[in-house]
Amino acid sequence: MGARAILAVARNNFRQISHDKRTLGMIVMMPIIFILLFGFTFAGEPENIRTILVNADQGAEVTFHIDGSSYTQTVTVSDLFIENLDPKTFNLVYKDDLNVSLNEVKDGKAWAVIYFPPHFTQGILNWASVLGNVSEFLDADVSFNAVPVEDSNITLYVDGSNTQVAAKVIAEVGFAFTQTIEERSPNISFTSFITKDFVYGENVRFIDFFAPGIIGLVVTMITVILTIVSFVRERTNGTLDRLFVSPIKPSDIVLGYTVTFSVIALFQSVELLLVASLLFNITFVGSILLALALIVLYAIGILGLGILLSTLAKNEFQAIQFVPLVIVPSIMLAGILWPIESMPEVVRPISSVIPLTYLASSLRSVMIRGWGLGEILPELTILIVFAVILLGVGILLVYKKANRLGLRKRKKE
Amino acid sequence: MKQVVVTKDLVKKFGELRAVDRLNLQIQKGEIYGFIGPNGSGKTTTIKILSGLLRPTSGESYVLGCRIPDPSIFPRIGYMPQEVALYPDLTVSQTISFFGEIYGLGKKEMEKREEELLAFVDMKAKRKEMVSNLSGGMRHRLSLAVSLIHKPELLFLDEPTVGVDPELRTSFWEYFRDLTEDGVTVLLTTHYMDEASRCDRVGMIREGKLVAVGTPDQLKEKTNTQSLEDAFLHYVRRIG
Repeated sequence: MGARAILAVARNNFRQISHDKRTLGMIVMMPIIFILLFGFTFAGEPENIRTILVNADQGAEVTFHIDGSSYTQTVTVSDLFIENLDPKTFNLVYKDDLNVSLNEVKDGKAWAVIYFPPHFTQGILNWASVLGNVSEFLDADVSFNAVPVEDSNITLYVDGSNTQVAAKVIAEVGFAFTQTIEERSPNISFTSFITKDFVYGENVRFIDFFAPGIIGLVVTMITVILTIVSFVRERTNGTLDRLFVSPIKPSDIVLGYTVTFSVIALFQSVELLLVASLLFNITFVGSILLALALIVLYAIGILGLGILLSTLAKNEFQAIQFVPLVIVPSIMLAGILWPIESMPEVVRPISSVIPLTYLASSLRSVMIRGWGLGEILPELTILIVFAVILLGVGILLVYKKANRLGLRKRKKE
Repeated sequence: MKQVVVTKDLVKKFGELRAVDRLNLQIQKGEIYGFIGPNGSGKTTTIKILSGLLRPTSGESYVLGCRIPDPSIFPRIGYMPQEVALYPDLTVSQTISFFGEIYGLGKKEMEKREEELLAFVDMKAKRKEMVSNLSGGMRHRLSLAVSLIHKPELLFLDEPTVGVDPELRTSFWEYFRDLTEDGVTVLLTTHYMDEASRCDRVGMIREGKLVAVGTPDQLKEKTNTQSLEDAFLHYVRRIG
């Protein structure tokens, strides 16, 4: 039997799926839905953040010297900063009253208030004059009397309840500030102190980071759901009993399923990579064959896990409840969306026993860093160990269900 | 006569419940042996032990000369479970060919067998039909056909005629008779007394114990009753 029986089981699975239009639809559509969902949700950063701008800047007296004559004028530099605020990030609303504006934030009608105090210009020009740079800053020949003032800082009132929005507002205001200073005084450059050189992944975006994880997640979902449900159904239907009293070996049944789900995992991975490449132009610099090999190896382990879980369930209703138990920790702790390094110390041991952790990290290395077999060997080894153990336990459990455990041992007696 | 099934003090306990209680069976080659007994009397459990699906708590059993459990008997036995046990998302033809492949039938052999079996269960017109679209009786017929695919020497049939119309039931019985003429042994369970009376021998089982064995006529004689049904009630009540 062997190969022939394995292929018979695999073909049987494919025939059933091909007649079950909904399952077929789920297999085909899930990768697309996932990549679209994650791609559009996470590919962008917060945008169009409603922010109130209260500009109380009274300006400062500056004397201009043009063609030998001089005149004094009030200058406000706050407008220069406001021009540099990213229009995509901010949906700016101008208001005069700070308290009214703050109440809007408190009422949840706006995320932040950017407040320029009355002495803002004076404060900035004081600072520029310390550097002897006021003329350069205003791009004219000027003289300016530094008068010490208090409270010349821009104040940012932020609703911190959404950390991503708050972080974006703070970062963008800071960015507009440094940009304005640098534009106005070319010999002062903050960024020139730091030189960036990307070892890997220049121009890598967040979607490039999580695309490998999404592939893993889709493969996990489909494999766990289909394995658990198929095995519980084979059992409750009685078809498994029929197979158990036939010449097919329990291991051949499991291997037949392995062939089926490996093919499905391959199909979904290729589909996901294609969609992600076409729509989001994701980075892929490594070997696609190596990537697919990792995915199949992972799918085999997950199949074993699915069989294990199916033996714990009495019916399909119970079985399906195991699915979130596998999926949620995989989403949260496998380093798909957040690096493992950013997780608290206490949950990291859990991350290290989740197979998806190793698939996501090795797949990412292959796709973004272009690493080869040698470099991903540690993760590959762990994935092999996972696959062998989980599939081994799965096969053992099916032998147990078939009442064929310890049969050889008994015969020797 | 050669004994195809022999059990010695077979016991199967589920917790405290003795589903099978010191059962001693001898089934001869080529006979139709009918198990009759109330629901929960241990008929299905016995069939599951004999086919290898359950391990007995104690006792010995031999099937086709092998001490079971022994996987080497699998190609030689056919098992039709009580539930329909088919894949709903396959066609009739795909169902037969899947099980044919599992039993290692060659392509030509399989085509021939499919023709024979579909003719026997009168389902030739349903070849391309999905199992999920078949009526209950049709599924039962297909289920029986699947158990026969590899021409087993010994058939375990758990309530083979439930939900099958009277006409087809008659043809099933004619077929069983044909099989026994070729040396096939049939062990079946039934609730129908008219079927029990068509068996070569009947084993009456109650609370896991075999309370009487014999040909239908012998059982009627022993209990001094006119029908097998009365004989059955006689035994069932006596123990109760």
